[in-house]
Amino acid sequence: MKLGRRQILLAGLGSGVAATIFRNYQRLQTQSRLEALARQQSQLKVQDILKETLAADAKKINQTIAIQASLKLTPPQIPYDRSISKLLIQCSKLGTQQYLSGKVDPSFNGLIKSLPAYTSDLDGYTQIASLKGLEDVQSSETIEVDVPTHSANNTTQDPVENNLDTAQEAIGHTVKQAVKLKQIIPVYFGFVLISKTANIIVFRGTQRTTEWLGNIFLFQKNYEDFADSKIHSGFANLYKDLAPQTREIARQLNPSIPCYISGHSLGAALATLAAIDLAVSVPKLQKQIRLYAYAGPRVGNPSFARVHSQLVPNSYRIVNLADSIPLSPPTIFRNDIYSHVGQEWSFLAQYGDVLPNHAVDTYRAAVNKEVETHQARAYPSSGLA
Amino acid sequence: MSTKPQNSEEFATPLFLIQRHRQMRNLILDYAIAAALLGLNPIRGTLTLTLLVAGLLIWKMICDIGSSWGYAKGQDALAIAGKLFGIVGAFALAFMAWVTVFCLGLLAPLLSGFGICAALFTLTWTLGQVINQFYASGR
Repeated sequence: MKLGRRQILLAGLGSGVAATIFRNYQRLQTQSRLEALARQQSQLKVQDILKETLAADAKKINQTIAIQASLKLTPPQIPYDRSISKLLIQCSKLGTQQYLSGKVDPSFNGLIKSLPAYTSDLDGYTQIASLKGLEDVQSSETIEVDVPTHSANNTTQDPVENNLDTAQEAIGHTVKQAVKLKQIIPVYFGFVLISKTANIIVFRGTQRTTEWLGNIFLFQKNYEDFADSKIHSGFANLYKDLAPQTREIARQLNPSIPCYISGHSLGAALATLAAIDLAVSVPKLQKQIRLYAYAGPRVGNPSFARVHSQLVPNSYRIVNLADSIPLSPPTIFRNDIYSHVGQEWSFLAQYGDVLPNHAVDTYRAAVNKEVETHQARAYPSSGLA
Repeated sequence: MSTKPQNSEEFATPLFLIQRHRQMRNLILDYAIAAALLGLNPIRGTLTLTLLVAGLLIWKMICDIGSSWGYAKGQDALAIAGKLFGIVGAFALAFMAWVTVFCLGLLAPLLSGFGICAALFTLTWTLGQVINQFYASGR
């Protein structure tokens, strides 16, 4: 029988397919044999592997505690001032209201005197500047407007017209017309106050989406002024935009009186960066800088914290022990290590959720009641200790 | 324009066209099977050589198709564009065939190793059809 070209090709293809499947089968057999061997060996070593895994887990926890314990910061030379702390947490509230007022009211000029949180306690201070974002942003707001309706008091003899009037009235009362307004709004980041006795620089907390995004950008970048010092990339980028105007304003401040730099949450992180930046760029101000950071997250690595404490020793960190924001970023994040700066003054206000535990009002209430303390606490259960 | 009903026999495909179609189909299929066979080459480190041989095989197929049509010329712009896009499409299809069979191999390990085979078959078959269509559009 003579084979045609097609038959030869198909026979070759069939042989090739069969050979490939056979080869795959052999490979799978070998692999399953190796897997069985590995399983057998791993069962013998399972206790060792388990011990190593558990030890690594405990090591990670202990490493975090060890990093925090090993950090020796320069202690403050001036005691924590409760009266100024009350004023500064009020300023943090004003910072938020300043941003929101600018967002809603295009005619708002940034002056804090017109804001609801302003009290006579600040009457001795003069606002010399507002810290603003580099560019005004276009904001889109949806505003509900009542649709003007015609009163249907004049009933007619025409039943159809009466029904139409009733329908129009019903629609007019229930439907509101949504009007979208686009306007350019200034982005206020804080303000600067001066008086005969003190200067105050305040940064507000997170408000805008870009700032939230900045907060979660946890990777560290080199802090250009000091070798080995690294800081949170998101905070660094946000402060970069504010640094020139902050320095310029700081140069105008009286260097013979204390300069309080403060903020809540993101504002605390920005204040931490501003404090060290001004200590370096405006040397005449360095001795007068006092940092009061409320609910601040960790900003930099241990090297940064050490340099910060040397340049700005009078730093205080006010935290609610039930607030999760000061616990972030974690001490060890991938290859980066984070440490807090400043002397801790803590209180406990537990409302059962992240936002109320973190809110400015929670901190303000605690500071006004003077419940924050630097003393070691005796907890009912201390866990690992 | 004539409105006279057409006799269905007038539309019947001429026998020589059916034969030509069958002849071309068989020619392309033979080359595609041969290319697929090349794709089953189990020797590691010879893929470039395999692809070169497959390329020569495809070139030979194109010459054979052209020769069968007497290298008909006079194709219109649509035929030329069809050929160009068809060639690009043939490579895209071959790539998709490779991806599909490769993924099948991940699910069913016995089927792994047929990716190149499937790709070369698809490439040869599709290129053959494209070239055949191109010459069929000549005058």
